[in-house]
Amino acid sequence: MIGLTVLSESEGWLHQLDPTDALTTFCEQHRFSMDRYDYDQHTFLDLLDYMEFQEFEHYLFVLRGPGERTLRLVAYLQQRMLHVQFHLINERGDVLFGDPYFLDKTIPLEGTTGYTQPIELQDALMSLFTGVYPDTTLRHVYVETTDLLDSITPTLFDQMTINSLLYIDQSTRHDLPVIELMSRTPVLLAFSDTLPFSVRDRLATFERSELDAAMQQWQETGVVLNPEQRIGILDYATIAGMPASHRLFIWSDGIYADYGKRILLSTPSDLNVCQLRERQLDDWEALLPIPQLALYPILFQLASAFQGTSQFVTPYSVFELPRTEGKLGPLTMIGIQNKEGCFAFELLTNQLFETDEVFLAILEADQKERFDVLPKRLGNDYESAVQMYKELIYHG
Amino acid sequence: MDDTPLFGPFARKGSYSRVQVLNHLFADDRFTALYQETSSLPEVDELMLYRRYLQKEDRVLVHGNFSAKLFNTLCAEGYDLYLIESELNRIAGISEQYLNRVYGLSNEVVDVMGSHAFHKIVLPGTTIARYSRGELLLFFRNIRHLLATDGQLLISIHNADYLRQNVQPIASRRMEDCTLFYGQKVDRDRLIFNTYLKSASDEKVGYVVEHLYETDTLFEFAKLSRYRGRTLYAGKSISILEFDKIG
Repeated sequence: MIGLTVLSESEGWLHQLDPTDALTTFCEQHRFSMDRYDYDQHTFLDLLDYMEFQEFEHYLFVLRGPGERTLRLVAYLQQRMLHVQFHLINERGDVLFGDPYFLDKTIPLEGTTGYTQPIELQDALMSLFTGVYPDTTLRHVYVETTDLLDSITPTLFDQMTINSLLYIDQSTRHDLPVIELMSRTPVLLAFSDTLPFSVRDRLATFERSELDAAMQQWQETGVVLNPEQRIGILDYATIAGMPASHRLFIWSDGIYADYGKRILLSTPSDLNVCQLRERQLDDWEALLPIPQLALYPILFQLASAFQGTSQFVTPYSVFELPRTEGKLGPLTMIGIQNKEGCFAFELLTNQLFETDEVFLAILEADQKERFDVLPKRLGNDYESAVQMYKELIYHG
Repeated sequence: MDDTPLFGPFARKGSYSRVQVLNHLFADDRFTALYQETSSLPEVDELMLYRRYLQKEDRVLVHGNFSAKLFNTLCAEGYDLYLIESELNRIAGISEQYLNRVYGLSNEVVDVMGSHAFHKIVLPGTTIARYSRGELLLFFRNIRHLLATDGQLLISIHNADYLRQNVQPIASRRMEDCTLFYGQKVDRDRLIFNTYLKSASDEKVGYVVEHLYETDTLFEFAKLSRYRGRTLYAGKSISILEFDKIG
């Protein structure tokens, strides 16, 4: 059986592309199995297991655009699986790896668009240093210096998500440990000077008690303070007690679950990734229910976008009405009031709208299922204001 | 083998003599855990749902597919909860002090509690999906005798359109030192879940067939079975419905 997949690469991140009807028909006519793989959720080891499971004899990667890391991935697969023949061609049909002799005509790629929203390296580094990321796969790994790479069992890197980052806290260097690692596993590497600024330096630092107090303040007043306009909180997930198990910090004195070395997991030589994940999950109790913990970093980041103090309208905090546990279902919009005005932030699209006090009053009543307070609060404007709100929220 | 609802690579694995085909997926703990994990939809916080719609003074029967952890939590909070669960490995996590509230079959509940003993019956999303249309209609009628005269059904239902549009391509998960592969396929009004594992000691495939329902169908069936209903929550992936028993 011959598997075929189409992907693109941006800054080293791999993206599965959707097949067009023409491509699907082509695969059916040529007895190719059109294949899709989620590079965001699966590890290198998972991909090897998957190839074994599917019992492919040949597997053809079709790459749209440039892709140095894709080539490394295909070479890695071939090195690890001798009984499957891997091939890589580009969109023009040029053979970049292998020998796809079974291809007698060009694969129809018209209409398969390349991935247009690359994952920003900054986002990945934010995820590494704050811990805020909604899954449980080992994703980002921090290594203090390149010489530590030799002491880490190579299987660790096989268990990293394919779209994940190995961050080395040194300026770029391609010394022997790095070259050896790159030749073994096609990890995505970043160094401290890969970005022109340090993400870590733009994060706020909190002790757990300070974060607890800040969250209490948010619940009781709606206010989230971020006077230094930081873009996030260092080790937020660990300090707040979120079930974050997707990152590891490898220092010369041990492997930790966080950058601040609060949770020691093991020594570099005693490494079992599955056990590490379980140990991370056991550690700190959550400061708030998980939906509130997940929301707080967004509020903190939004607070940095405005001058002065911002007060937020959320179900979990006091504004004009007492706080609640929230409605059933996901929270879709929050309100913001500060000296720059009134705003609404749509959580699904990350869009910010300018609005007014009346809208925020209705938003809060909606979030807290207290429409009963609105006739008194809005007076003569009640009906028209609520009608306008509903049209905006529920009908776009 | 041809009559088993296995597809793609799962069908191929199932055709090998060395591979055991489990018609009853819940016979394997690892398959059970994987199915529970992948079939839960995070849109609604279940604890919040039940705290909101159950009263502590009401006697409530949960009909299958319920998290043991959630059952323990609600019982500890003072809810008068009972559970019908025929799969032994799905009650493994239930605290010993609450095991006397768990029954294998609805007949056993009637024997112990009598008819019309419950103010509310909870049917979680995957319970409804187990029944074909004919079976579901019969089920609605049969559980009437468990409900008090003014009793209610609380039903969560996974939205058919959402499930059709979000069919899980083949993926894998590591569990207990072996890798499990799983995937879904929509076949008319059925969602078929296939899974495969290979460990040092065994190699198996298993499947579950779920029936996809629109809320309108449930309202229609409820009416035919003499219930009157309303939608409590209509989300992207899940809807929560409440039905009053009539007469």
